Amino acid sequence: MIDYLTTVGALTGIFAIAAIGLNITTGFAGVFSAAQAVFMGIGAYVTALLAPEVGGSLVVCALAGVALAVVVAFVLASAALRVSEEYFMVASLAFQIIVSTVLISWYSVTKGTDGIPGIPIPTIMGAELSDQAGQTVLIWAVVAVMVGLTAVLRRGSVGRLFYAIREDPIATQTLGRSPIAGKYAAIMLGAAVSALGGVLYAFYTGFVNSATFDYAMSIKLVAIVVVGGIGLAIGPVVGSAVIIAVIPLISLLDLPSTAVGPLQQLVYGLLIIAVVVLRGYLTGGGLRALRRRHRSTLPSSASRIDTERVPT
Amino acid sequence: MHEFVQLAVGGLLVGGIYVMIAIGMSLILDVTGILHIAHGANISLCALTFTAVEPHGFVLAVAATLVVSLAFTMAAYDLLYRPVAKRQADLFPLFLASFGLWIVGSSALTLVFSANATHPPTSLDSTIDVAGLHLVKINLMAFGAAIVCYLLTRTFLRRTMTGSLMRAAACNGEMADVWGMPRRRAERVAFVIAALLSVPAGIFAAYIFGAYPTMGDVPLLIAFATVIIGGVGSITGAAAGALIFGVIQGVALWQLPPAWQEGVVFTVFLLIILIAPRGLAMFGKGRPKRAKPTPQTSSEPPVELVR
Repeated sequence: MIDYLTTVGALTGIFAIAAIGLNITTGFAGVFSAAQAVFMGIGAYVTALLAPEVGGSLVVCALAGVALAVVVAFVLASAALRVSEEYFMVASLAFQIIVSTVLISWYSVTKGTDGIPGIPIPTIMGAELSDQAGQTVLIWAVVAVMVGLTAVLRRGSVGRLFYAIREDPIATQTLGRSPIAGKYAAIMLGAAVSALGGVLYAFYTGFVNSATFDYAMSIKLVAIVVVGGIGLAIGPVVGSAVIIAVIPLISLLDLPSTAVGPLQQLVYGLLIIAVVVLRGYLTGGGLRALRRRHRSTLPSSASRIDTERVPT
Repeated sequence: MHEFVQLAVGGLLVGGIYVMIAIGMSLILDVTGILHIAHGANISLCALTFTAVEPHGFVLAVAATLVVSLAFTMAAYDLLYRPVAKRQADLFPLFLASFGLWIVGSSALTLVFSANATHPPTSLDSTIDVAGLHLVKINLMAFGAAIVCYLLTRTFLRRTMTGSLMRAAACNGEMADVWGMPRRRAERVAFVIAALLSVPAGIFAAYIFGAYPTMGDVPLLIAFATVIIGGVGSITGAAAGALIFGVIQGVALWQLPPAWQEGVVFTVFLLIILIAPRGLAMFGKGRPKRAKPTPQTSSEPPVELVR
């Protein structure tokens, strides 16, 4: 039981880190990426291939994984940012499928769906983290650091730039800051954090294969970010607790094993829809419109223009 | 070389399915601005419904597919997008809602139907030889249906009052509001057309790819890619793009194993947007070339649904 709780706790932390990356890209800068599992996968595969060579050094693997993820993110951004923002998602989904194809089919390196087992125990500063509890503590330490960093980032000048890009790219450009450079930064920063999550994932599970990092994983990360609250620094942790720790309890119900996966997906989808609809009631028009209706009887066209102000 | 031509022509015919999906997507995107991803679930739904009812009679199956497709799409518009759009003005919540609906739809289908591909039985899966090429009859019919669908939609947009209304709403929604045009009606008709077009798309996809719960996802993504490649706001561009992707998908089989097919298609897609971010239409139109393309400025290209 304790083992089970440790595993769930560790996975919650790992997915929280990966989702923090997506939250920077999507939540702060408003660039909807459906390819975040790619960056997690890059971190994990770099770890799987590199860790045996360097004696499981966590720092080396993390640096290499993050570096490669940033390079790949740059490639994705330079192609996908050429189309306007709504279509970035389509381009990123296309990118996700390309990378999944490569992971499955490039058998000599990635071993496809068979995967790479036997990733060594991580060492940090010469000390081996051999037990699960130790790794879980490490993971949550990283989560804490990342939440703190993103909270600082959000309030700092970079965060304000991201916020400006999300709310009004043209105004940002008018004020002399480049929205494109900001978007590049957001995508690469998000990829770096997610890759770190992938590195920790590979060390924790000791096994990676191509099926793990497909678009279902990207959807899961989107669900985590949306459910936790888009653009909140602590959001991914909350979302990860819901999506990774609570929803898999579905499998405790007496269901055929084939139904568990789709049912979980169904709940993710319903949660996303529920959050979007509720958000409308809470922020966008709901309360404000109600209040206004009490105050005065404005014609509907006037209230329409008023709600066109983008809800924050 | 003969094999290459064979694969290219085969891909062109399959591209007919993408044409039918892409036109619907293009219309919804232009008139309402919604990136209707949940359409992928609708394609799967159509194919699975048709396959399930087909043993009880072809006409009944088509009717059932039509009802189901219209019900799903209009429910998405009236019960999900409208309530969300009423309270949040920007497009991002709509897009997230559509994303959620897509996940709900495809996972619900996976729960109800088996994950294995089922082909409805047909005698039309034989080939006929034209100029030394082997063409599958059902694929030829899919291509023919796509051309008919394209011409009908184009005529509808050009010749009817509602078509003009939709073009106006697509061109400048706020101006359409100012002139008191019923924009909601234009939006609803766009969704209806997309639902109608996904009926033949779903049926032919069931015959050609086989029906399974996630079958709509890749065709939908290809259709989206073609809408972007074809130039937003042009159903002709979308249709042409869909055929190009069909050919690329077919040709990808020439030297590479089938597992690489999707990877090749989307690599080509990313390469094209790298070269021509405004879509292929920008080559055909002879638009004056800008010194430096600035894709991030929101100076949208003029939207003409019929070109």
